[in-house]
Amino acid sequence: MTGKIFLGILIFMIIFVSIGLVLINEGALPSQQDTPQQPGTGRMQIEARAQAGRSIEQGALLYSGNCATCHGVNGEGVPGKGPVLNPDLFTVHFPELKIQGYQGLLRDFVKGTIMAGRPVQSEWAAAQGGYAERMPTWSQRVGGPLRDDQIEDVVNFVMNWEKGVGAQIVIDFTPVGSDLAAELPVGDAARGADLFAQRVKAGNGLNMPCKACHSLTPGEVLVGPSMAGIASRAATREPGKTAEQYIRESIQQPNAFLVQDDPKYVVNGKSVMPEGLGNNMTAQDLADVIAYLLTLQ
Amino acid sequence: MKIEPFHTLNEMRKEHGLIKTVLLKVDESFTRLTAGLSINDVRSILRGDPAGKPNPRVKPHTEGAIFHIWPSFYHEAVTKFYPTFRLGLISWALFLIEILTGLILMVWYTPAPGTAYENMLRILSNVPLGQFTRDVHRLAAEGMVIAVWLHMGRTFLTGSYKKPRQFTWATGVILLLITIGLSYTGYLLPWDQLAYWAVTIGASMADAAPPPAVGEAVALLLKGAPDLGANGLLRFYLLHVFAFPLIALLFIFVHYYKVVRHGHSLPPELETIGEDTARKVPQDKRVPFLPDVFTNEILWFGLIVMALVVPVALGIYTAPLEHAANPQSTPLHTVAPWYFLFVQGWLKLGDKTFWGVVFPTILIGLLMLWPYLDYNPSRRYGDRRIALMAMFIIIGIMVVSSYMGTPGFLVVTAPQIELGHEFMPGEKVGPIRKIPFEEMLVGTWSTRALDEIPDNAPALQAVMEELWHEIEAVPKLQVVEGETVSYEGMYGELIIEDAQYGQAGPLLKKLTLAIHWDEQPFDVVRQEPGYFVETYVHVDSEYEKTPAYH
Repeated sequence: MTGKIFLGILIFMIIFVSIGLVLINEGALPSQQDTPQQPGTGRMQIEARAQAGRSIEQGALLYSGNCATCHGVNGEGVPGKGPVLNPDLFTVHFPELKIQGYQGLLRDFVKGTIMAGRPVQSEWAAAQGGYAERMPTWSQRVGGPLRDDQIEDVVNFVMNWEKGVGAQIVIDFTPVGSDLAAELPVGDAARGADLFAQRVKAGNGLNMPCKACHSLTPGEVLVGPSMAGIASRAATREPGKTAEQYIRESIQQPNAFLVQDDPKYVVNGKSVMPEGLGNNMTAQDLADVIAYLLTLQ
Repeated sequence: MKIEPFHTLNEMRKEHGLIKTVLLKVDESFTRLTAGLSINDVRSILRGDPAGKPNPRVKPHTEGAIFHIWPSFYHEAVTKFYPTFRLGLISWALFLIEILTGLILMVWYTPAPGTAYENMLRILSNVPLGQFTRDVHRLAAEGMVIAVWLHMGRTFLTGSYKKPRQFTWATGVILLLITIGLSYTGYLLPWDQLAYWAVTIGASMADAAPPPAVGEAVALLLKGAPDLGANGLLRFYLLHVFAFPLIALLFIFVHYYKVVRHGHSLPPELETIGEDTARKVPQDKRVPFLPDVFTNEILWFGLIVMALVVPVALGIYTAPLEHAANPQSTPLHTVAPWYFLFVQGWLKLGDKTFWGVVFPTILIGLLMLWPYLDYNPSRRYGDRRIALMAMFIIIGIMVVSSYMGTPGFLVVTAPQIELGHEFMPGEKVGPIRKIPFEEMLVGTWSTRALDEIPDNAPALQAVMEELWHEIEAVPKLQVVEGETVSYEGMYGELIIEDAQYGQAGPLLKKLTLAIHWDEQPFDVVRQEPGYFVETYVHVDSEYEKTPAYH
């Protein structure tokens, strides 16, 4: 019996020391709690931050698959397709919302917009020149494809840009703009192909949005026409312009000449090809892309 | 029965004094709670004194509601480790631990698809000892399945299922099924990818039950809809927390009552063939339940709790948790829970209805009826060579079948997909996500230029070297889905890009694993040739410190 009592006490102690060990590392003690100055060191605090981080990772995957086509891979927006989110959400849209008397948090606004979409264009968007399509609904609750937890993930990803406002690496570059007369350097077709396929970034450090709307498969229409055979078509499109001049004009000034044969490319008298693309590329980027497109006979 | 004169408290105080009266009353209450043992009786037990005459230690058996089901003495031969190996006790102890931890977990759990997974995250991040409780619950569940199987194996080994214990064996088989049912219904409740797809595989067995109309009805009844959803989760939850435990308790009672009724079967070598002497215990072989067997069982209880608590506390065992269940995306290599792997193995042999439903049902029926079919009266090992051989052959078949159920068997996946799954799996973590965040250097790192990886990123170097080794090991010619494919010139690239910045540096990185080879296909989404897997890693994700996701 003495042996049993001794063994029992030993087992009891091991069990309670083990549970105690777990408990003191849990993060329930005041000293382990998160403070604004110092993140907590308890297991639960580490776990909570890790969960938030993983939610952002999932959100990033969902964003790149569903949102990047219109809002850009880094939220830089795609002219004519979707507005700039990063950093405009925090520096432009939210102050604007406050002026209009919006009482909620930006997070709620973002979540609501993602969930329910935008059936009607806002005055602000219209003033920016408008977008070809409306924001669709994304939540399963209102007919979209994403579950609640996925919506939460995307919101966490989008809201995480706020931490980078003002901290973004500023890239010094001179955009080519809409000036058709400026001298262009010699184009490198191989780099142009890489730019088009988003294997390399344009001068502003971001991906070129071309392939979001233009397929390379003959006859396939994503939003705009396929680029297959563009070099041959461009040569005869506009009287008095060479293929190179025509492609350059289409990129820098898409509304200078409208192809009237297909109504889906012209909406309200404007080309669906967005204006201002030249503001996102250097003269070299433009020359490279043109050189590449001229190889697509 | 003589009625004792009833003394009022005041009379007692006058007779014994105040302090003695209080002590007497305390002792009286204690004796009532123990159904007959006074404080002095318990002290004499703890001192190891021999029992007095008449023995007060049998009183709890005759007076008490709980102890009356236990025998007041055991045969000395069954109180040793052999022949029971304490497996019945271990199963029972694990069942009680499941009830306790399960009750605690229920407090933070709602069985609905939108909230169940969120609840799991909450239990891990916001409930002190929440992860600990969940880990213990899961570990005890796995342990219970093992313990019940072993218990059955032991009963077969010692021939204890033979007359008069056939019915005890049959109820034991039912308890085995309930244990597996409990474990399986609990498997779904976290509502993560692991749970969802493992249970989807198992529940699809119900669909295969013949005839089709019955299978359809059973599946619909179980899942509440053609696919697992809100209704299915609620049904599994109710089975898990209510129906199965209740049925289990009922059958445990029947099972244990039968054990006591027939006595614990003695080691086969102690009895003459065809005789059962478990109930006729000679005076000198009796070991009293109180205190000897009872304290021994308490020690075993303690050992089991320790065996669960210590590995969990030391982080040796952590219950897994994957991403939230996504019915639209089936992870590669989905497997049933390990105790169903053998069925998954059989399914690879052919017809789902036969191998998945009919054959297992026949086996369960045979198992249950086996004591009534076995006419060999002897329990001696030497007389049961064929039966024992059959047992080990069946165990061997189960092990091989379970191996056949693993993803590696008979399922050929293209090597680039295997590589992507191994290094950057959709669920779990994989080696690439475990690279420390500061070592995820922006750039394109190739297995063709391993020396270009800077020395300040040893983990990145190690992972890329491992990738190189694995790629080297890929056979140059493979048959994938009936076609011979050449994997000449294969190499891997890890492309690391910054995805989000904070004030203090990068917050989120994008990692793309690219596998290239001479005859690579064209990826239409990325508009470039090769095979690609993408993921993002956040600076706070700490895959090393959060073992649930490993």
